[in-house]
Amino acid sequence: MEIREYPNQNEIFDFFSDFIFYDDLRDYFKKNGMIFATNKQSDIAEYASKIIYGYDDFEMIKSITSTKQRFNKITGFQIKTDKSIEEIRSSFESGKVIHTRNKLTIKNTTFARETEKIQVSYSFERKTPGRMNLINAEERKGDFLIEKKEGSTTRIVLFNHSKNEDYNAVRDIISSIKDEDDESFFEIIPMTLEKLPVSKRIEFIDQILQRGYANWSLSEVILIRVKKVMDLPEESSEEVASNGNEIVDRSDLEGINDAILRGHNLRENSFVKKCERSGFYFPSIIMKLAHESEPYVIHLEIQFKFRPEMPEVNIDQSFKVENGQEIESELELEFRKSALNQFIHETLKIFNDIARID
Amino acid sequence: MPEEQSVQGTRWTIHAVELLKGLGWSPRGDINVDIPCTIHPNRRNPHGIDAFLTYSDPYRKKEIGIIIETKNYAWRSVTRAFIQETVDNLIETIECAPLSDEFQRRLNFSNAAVNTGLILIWSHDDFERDTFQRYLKELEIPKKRKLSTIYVLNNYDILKLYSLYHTIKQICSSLREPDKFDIYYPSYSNSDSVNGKNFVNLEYFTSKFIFGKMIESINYKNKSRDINTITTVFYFDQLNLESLNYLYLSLKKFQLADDKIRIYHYNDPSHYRGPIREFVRICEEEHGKKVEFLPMLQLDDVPWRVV
Repeated sequence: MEIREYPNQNEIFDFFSDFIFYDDLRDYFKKNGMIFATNKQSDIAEYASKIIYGYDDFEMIKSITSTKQRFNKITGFQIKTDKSIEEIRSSFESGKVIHTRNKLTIKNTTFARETEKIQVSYSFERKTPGRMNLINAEERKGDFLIEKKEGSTTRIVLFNHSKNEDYNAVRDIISSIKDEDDESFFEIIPMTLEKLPVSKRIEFIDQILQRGYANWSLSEVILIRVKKVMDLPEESSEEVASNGNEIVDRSDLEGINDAILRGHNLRENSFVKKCERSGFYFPSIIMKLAHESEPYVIHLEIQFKFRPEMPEVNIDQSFKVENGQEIESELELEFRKSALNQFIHETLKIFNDIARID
Repeated sequence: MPEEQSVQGTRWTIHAVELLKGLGWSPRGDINVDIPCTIHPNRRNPHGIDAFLTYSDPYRKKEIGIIIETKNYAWRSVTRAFIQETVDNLIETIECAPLSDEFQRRLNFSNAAVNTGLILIWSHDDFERDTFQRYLKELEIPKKRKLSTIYVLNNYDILKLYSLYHTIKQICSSLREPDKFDIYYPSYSNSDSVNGKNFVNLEYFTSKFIFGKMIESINYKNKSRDINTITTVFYFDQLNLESLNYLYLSLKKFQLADDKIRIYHYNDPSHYRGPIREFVRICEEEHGKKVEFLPMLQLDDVPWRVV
């Protein structure tokens, strides 16, 4: 992209404040010998906006915004296919352009034979309104993993997204793979609570809360969102005073916590019963989980999004425990990735059991 | 050996202070001053300050003080752990110094604001820039409530500063009136004002372009007459056309593009003769500016070691 105007200080400040993650910003300057001992991104942005950057600097900074991901979220879907692993692998051809309009391209494919895992890297151009010349168009890069699902021909597609466009890119690549007869290789199985009856939707959250997760123990339910079932007649929702996507209030949440932590079934809780009767369910939940061997605590959000329809596991907040105190802190990258991987697999398993997806 | 190292260290401190003084900074008090620690309960030793210099910051409009830490070691001793320890110590010193009466009494006479440090690591036998940058990237930096900023300069950066210092000196000595050269700080408030100062601030140490202006004068009827204002750029970016065009955009943005532009470039131009010629042509034909390229001095070693 050709830059036609040198950015002014305010633009550089905004850029560093809004378009780069705090850790990436600190890393960029660290490498260049500038160390900022601060917990405020705005301090770094203010200081760094007084430096005169050259062309290569801005190219490098832009590449941080386009390539780095925070790995705080993971999502996925499942695909049905009757193709062999070799056929699947060779179908993701490096250099193949999926869409010319946004330059969506498969960059590389790697394959681990023992585990049958395929990793596909891609890139596309994401255009943003011309707030700054610097970011009028950015090249976003990402990758996704196709995994074998035990005892099934279904495969799981997983990826760490940060924007909805990432989800669309992965879905578009998967959908674009066709055989010689122009038949799709893969059938995407939608992962949405909306396909299930209300009782099953509540059962899903119940099982999320009841499940024993390896290495983690549930300390508290921090937040539950309630949502009214679409196309439900108005009169059937009288018992619960909500008409959209709202948060369960504190007293009801205490009741739910009390029940869950005593090992009781969520569906026995009076508020939950009321919700179920009135056609409300829980599309999103945040749990506080403590690691059993490391001094880490996370607030983990599990939710089903609507546009696009996808399940999402998100480390909403993370803490290190020091002298009994929880200090907000970003966990190591590999640890975050591993935790997200664990919880998305558990989430998919529960969903599949409830939705009876093989 | 430790004694020899200490002599070497002090020698480097003296030369580093001279270099910074040459770039317009003001040394304050003595070198190698210890100040007692007041706020770190686990620390047994006082904080050692190799040097303390100040300058009047053109953006903050106030005097700021920089605590200097100099290191002169063999390359094998310059490790990630070594840099980490040096950075950690300096952060603690920056936290302690403003609260210390002794620091105020012995060094900070002008009551300058202190939240910045500068580490100059000179490796006297060998140096690998990529490895050094990797060490920097791996440093663990505390997330403090109050900002402390530390610059860590290595051999490459130090030689670059010497080159800058040398070129400024050369420019001044070539002018009939040496004070008719100034470093310029672009205004960021979208106004056309720029602040002329004859020193190089810390932010410029890592900037790709450093701006200046020189005024050429002649002697006419025994009086000095200014004839030309020349925009001067110390240019540390690549010499390809994209980077050079970007420089022009910055000059335009900061309203610094005089009719004559002299670019002192630090990087080797041998592979970029074509782009340089094209840039000169564009500036002349499309913008009406006369551009001249001159090389900055490339040093292999610090001047005080070259006898």
